[in-house]
Amino acid sequence: MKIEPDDYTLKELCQEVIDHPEEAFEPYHINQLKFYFYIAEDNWSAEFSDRFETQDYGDMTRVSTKYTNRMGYEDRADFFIGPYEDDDEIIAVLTAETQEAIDQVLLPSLNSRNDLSLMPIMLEDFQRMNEIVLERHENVRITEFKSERVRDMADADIRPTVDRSIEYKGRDGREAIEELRSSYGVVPVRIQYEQQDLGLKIDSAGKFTLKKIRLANFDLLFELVEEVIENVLDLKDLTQKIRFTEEEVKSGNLSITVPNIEAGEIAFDREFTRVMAEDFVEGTINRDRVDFSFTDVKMQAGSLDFSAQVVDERRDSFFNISATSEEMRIVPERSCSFPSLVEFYFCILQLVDGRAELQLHEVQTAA
Amino acid sequence: MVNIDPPDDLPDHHTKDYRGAYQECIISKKADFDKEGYKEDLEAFIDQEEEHRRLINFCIFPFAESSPQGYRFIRADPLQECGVKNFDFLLHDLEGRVIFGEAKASLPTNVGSVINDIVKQREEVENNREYIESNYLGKSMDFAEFVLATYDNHASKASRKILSRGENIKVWSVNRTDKEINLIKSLPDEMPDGFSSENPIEELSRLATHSIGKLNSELENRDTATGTISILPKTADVDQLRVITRGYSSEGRNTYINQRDIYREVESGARNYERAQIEEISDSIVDLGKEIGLLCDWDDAEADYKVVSQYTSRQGIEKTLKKKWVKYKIEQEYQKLQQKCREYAREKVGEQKQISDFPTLGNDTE
Repeated sequence: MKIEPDDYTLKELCQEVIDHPEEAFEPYHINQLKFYFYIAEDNWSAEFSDRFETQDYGDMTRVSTKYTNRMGYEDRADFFIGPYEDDDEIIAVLTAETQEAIDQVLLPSLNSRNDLSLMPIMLEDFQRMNEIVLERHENVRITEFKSERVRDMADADIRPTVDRSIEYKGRDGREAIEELRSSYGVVPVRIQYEQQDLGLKIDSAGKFTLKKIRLANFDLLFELVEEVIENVLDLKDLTQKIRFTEEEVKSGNLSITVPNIEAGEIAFDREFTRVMAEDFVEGTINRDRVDFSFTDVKMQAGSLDFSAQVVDERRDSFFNISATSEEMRIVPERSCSFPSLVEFYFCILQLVDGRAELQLHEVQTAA
Repeated sequence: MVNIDPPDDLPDHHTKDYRGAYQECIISKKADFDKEGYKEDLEAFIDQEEEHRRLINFCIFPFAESSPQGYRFIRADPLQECGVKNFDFLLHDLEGRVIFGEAKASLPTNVGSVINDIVKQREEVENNREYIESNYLGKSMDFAEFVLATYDNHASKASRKILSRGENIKVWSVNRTDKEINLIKSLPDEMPDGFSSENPIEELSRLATHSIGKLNSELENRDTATGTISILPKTADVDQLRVITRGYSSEGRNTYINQRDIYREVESGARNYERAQIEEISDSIVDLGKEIGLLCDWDDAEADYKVVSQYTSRQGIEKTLKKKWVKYKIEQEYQKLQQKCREYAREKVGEQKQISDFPTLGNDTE
């Protein structure tokens, strides 16, 4: 993206794109702006490996690198990164690159960091986002969407026990979402809106695409983000507390190191069964954009006895899970970082129980 | 023909007999050897060791998450470096009160032998009092209690047996499904020999519960979880090899590990151990890893050892590790059979030598 070097906040940078779209999108075929939002650790900084060049744009940083595209040619990809608002807790990344460049260059460099976690959008929040768009634009069409079976959020008339995912394209998407919801029990996880002045795609994985570069559309996008920020920041605070530390204690003339664990706990809304545990391990392994390994898995026959060591391979971050039918305790290891726990919890919400709640494990004390 | 070399001291003309005897022996030994059964036993052994580690973790988690009545988790396998029979974990309230715990994921029919072992371990604690005080506690050991921890399906039996012997050993019971710890007191049918207390029930309760009343209530339906300690300093070799599945890295098709990764993993479980001990444990893991063919030196490469596996995924490496260890143990068993047959053949040919050589000897003298 060609943006005149200067000091920008995120919104000023967006304004610059609105004011000079021809320049900004000059190297690209399509004038689309993609936004990814991340939750960041407090001491986050826009530092990247040597592979990347960075350029200071005030609050924002321009990051670029070379890569080889699928035609075998060397190409350049760039993106802007910086705080969403004044504080550094939510980070926005914007780019006009192709999905290929994003998948090859941008996402791998961001999704393996221990100080950044993709901002997941709880499906209930996502449904609210949809309502907001439909309220603001009464005549908007939904031309594309993807819906998934989420038992806790919709009843199904047709074979309700089957897990399913439906991708739909057609100008009657707005009606189809509701029809598929009631018949197949699926709820949208990705929606594309189209109207004369509006082109917007929202994805519960934290990705937003603006297809029409107008101020009102930027405003709408930021309004949607505002809607989820509170939940997201609560989740960040919580996952940052789940930590393994070592404490030096004095014992007589010795100094001893003792472990100090703040454990987490996912409380299920419905009974967690052995079959669900198996499906969860399997489902998590095959999931896009996360890379969890399960070793030391103990799953006894009969009643549920499930424990395992989990590794977030992209971050080399280790933690352990022990589940009962009501809850899953999370014991972090030294290397455990909060983005791993955010993503893990998100997998639980999507694969096991959409109403499961993450909390700290409460220490019992003597009566 | 069996391609086996006779011992050097056997005259050449006995080679054929020696080989014949060896072959006869090895064929029958191999036929008798239940390879599949042995493999199943080894796999069951791996499971059992994993369960043992899990049980220890269930026991110590409450003392790593908080400090019930001041007790903290201090050390795994206390006294192992002294080469004596040792407990699995040590808790200390930093005021001179300690709890030594032994974890048994399953109990043999003869529970008495387990109790005898704990009694012996308790004696070792007494014998090494000064060592414990100066190396683990930093102060005098004013008060020690001893725990046998087991899963709930064995706990009552253990408690009854312990109390029938009048032993001062507490029983912790872990429920794997609910992931809870409880202190168990199951009164025996008969009072222990020579038990002349005026109030036997009260006396038995005293033996079965911790002296600090509040600790007993803290151990009532106490939530627990795994994951506090991933590598035990002293455990079955196959379980220690987990260090490799935890510490390895991969790049493309290459999987590798460095000495410092191994050290780091061992250290995380051997908290408060001396550096030399951690190094010793790390070295033994490398040796075993090489012995079973999971590790090999990686010359002119950026890492110390290559992890030899078809897989690059962590689950895959874990699978390879177990498979290679089982194969190695079976191979060792075969080697034992071969050794036995060598001895058998040597003996048999030796006998023949005496018989067959006798007339020759007679001829010679004539």
